[in-house]
Amino acid sequence: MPFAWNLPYLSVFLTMTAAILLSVLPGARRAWLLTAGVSACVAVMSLCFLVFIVRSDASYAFTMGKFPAPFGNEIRFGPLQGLFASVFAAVMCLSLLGGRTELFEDVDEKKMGLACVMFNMVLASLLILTYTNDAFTAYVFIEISTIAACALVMIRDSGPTLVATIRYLFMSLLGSGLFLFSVILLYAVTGHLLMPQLAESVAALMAGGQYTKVLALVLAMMTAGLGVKSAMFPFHRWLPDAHGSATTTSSAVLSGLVVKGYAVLLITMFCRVFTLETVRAFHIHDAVFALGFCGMILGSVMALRETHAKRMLAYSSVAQLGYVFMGIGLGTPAGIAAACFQILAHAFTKPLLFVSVGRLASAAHHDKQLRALRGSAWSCPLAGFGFGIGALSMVGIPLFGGFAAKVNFSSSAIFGDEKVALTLFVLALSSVLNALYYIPALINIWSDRNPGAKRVEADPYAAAAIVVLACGVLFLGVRFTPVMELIVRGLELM
Amino acid sequence: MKLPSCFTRWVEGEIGVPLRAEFEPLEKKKSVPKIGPSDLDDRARLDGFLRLYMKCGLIISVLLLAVLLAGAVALPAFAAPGNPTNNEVVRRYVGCAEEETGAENVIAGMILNYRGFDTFGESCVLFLAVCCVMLLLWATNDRLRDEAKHCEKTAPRDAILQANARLVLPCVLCFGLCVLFNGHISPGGGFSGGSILGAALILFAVAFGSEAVRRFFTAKVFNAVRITGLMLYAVMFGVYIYQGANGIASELARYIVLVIDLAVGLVVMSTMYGFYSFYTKGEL
Amino acid sequence: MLSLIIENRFAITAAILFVTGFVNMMLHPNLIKKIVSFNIMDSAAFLMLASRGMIAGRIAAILTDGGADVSRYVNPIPAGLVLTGIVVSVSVSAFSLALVQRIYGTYGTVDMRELLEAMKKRGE
Repeated sequence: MPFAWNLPYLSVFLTMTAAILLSVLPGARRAWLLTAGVSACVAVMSLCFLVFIVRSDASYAFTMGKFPAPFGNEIRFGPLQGLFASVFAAVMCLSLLGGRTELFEDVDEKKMGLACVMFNMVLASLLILTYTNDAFTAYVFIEISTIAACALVMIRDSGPTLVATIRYLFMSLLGSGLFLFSVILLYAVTGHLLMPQLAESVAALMAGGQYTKVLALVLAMMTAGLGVKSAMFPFHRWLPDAHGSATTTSSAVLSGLVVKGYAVLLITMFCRVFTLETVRAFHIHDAVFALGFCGMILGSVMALRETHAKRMLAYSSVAQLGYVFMGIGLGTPAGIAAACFQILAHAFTKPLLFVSVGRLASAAHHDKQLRALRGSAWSCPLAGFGFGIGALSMVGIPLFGGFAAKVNFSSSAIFGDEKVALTLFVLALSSVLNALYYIPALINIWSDRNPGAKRVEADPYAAAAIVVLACGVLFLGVRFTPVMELIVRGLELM
Repeated sequence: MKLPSCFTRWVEGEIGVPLRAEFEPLEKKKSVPKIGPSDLDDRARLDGFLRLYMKCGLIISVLLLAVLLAGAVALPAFAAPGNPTNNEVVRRYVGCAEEETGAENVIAGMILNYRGFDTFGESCVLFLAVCCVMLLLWATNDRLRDEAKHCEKTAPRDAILQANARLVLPCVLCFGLCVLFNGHISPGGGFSGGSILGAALILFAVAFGSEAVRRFFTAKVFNAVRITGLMLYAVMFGVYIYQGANGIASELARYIVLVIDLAVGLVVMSTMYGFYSFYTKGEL
Repeated sequence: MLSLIIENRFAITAAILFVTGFVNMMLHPNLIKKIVSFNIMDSAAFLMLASRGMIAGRIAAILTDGGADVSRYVNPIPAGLVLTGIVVSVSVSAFSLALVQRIYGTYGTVDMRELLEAMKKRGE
């Protein structure tokens, strides 16, 4: 076995051991540096691995121990997993850079090490949720991700964040409870926990028509559980409070990455375990499509009514996750590929927006009401440009990542055989709605110069993060064909 | 350049201004903020929201109950030997656990070796929980810490509790160590043994005051124990995975259960005492 | 029908308990009771899991003098999974109790409704 195949497991262990050591490392600055360094290192490792796996054009199961598939834990990776892992780690690193100033202002210096533990653990759980080949490992790491993500909200210690955290925590626990119960039911009818064996048993049960009721229940509960955790439409109420009140880095990580981890797991479960035929047979994809549809529209409508910049961005995340679920709900490989692309595009765009708003707000004495941000871009032009690129990408202007995502959705709907009109309609409507709140916000921050604005100190870390994230958005918008080809190949090799 | 006021307000994110401006005269619009949302309005809105939330929740729950009951009835029968769960995996675990992992307790062998990565995740959950509790309750503020210390000094010590603790503590400690170190051959292991040891520490702290605990279990020792336990697990298992996946032959698999049991025991013990200590005093 | 119910009595109990916990966790305004409900919900899942491992007339999977004769022991996998699950639920309970303690210290209430009102009053 070539050494490169050890890279995913090494990157997971690197983040986890770093998290363990961070809890006793003295010094806030050192803790931050180590966290950012580890995520950068993981990004580089995943990128090397991605290059390697694309060259060899294969996917590989890696036994976590001495014992192969039905007996021991296993992770499995192909081009798609490599792509997700490198993007997740890179965006994590950039969010840490971009929110650095706010992070040091919002977090107690003595507790910085503990806060950094949470960032590392979130990264580790994201990696495992992407790589895992075992349903129960997925449950354990879902819980790690839940606890660490809730802690990310409350590291900014204030009354509203505590309340937002507990609401987030309870909603997430409902989700993980549903997921756990569905895994148990699945175990009860198949007797396996490892995904390859689960897939075989599910196929056999479906062919023999045994336990179909239980399988339908499992699929529905698993979808609902992961949906609750990734803010699928009727369960989205916790998101704006949690993402809106957290510190910049946390908001960027939560909105850009954490909710995506569960969506990636859902895609893995659909493609690897149940297969799309089973999903279609139980009409689960129709429900997912309907909820994604509602989320896209209602998320935008609620963002339209919001006057707080970060809460507006948070509601916009609900809408953007609606896109992901709509793609999954198309029930075709092309739809799922489009959803994967949307996950990537949003993972770059939303952190860019949050980091920019964080910088802009520091010109307005940390008041994040849109009214207070008026004209703030003039005191921090780079953040203004960053916000502009992010906003235009969200609206779906060509050359930006969001446009490419919408193109992929429409083409996958047109070449599919159902829901063509509905998909195109909701894409158009949601673009208009996005424009209705992003364009005013953009005009607002660039409108006449505010004489009372504080001078913003130049923050090289945030500048670098904004530039790189913006380049990512532009790259996805211009060169989306090769990325899409990679995703499609990755889904085939799942 | 002066923008029209209506447009400016829309840009600033005021709700529905441009839409309303088409139908309403400007004067009326100005009077809106004067009335303002009163407390009564807020209460009514909250009530309305909670009622809606109640209704939706109830509908979801009734649906869930119906679906779950239908699923539960359709499951394979309880305790039947021919169930799908009793397959080759079980046969392998029961048949080969002793030989492959050195554990007569098949469950210990399974969670610490076959599915050891899950258990590593689980130990990390415990570690994370302690970190979260520390984030929330750690009194970094001097005033809070002094208050807690004062409370503790003035609290009377219970003579009955102390006398009983002297009697019980050695037994609990022995029992805990016994459970911890015999995890591979009998019921028990790191998690149960660790909790018993943690309970012993808590009993000691309750009976003799945490000053007494601090003589040998300071914050430094707490951190050292916790980190040593987890790092031992991480390094041991990391090496084990590397060897296992790359097909390097080694005898590590036979010893891993004992060492990891010890590591988990350390983690669980310090976690339990950490919970108690942070809940009551906000520090160790 | 009755025989089906008796055959699956543990699964049915687990389903009812799960929904009890689920409902209360969603709808109960008291935060402490929400945490209790969460524990009920998880315990229901563990009951379900543990009942799946049972095989009539066999003993726990700790090899005794009988050696590794598979037909003597129950299924060890659910026991291990329940152990993992319990640890997770303990950790989550500890975390949420600490959160509630802090919230009580800040707002003086553990009732979700009063909490929302208190937050409104403070203009947060």
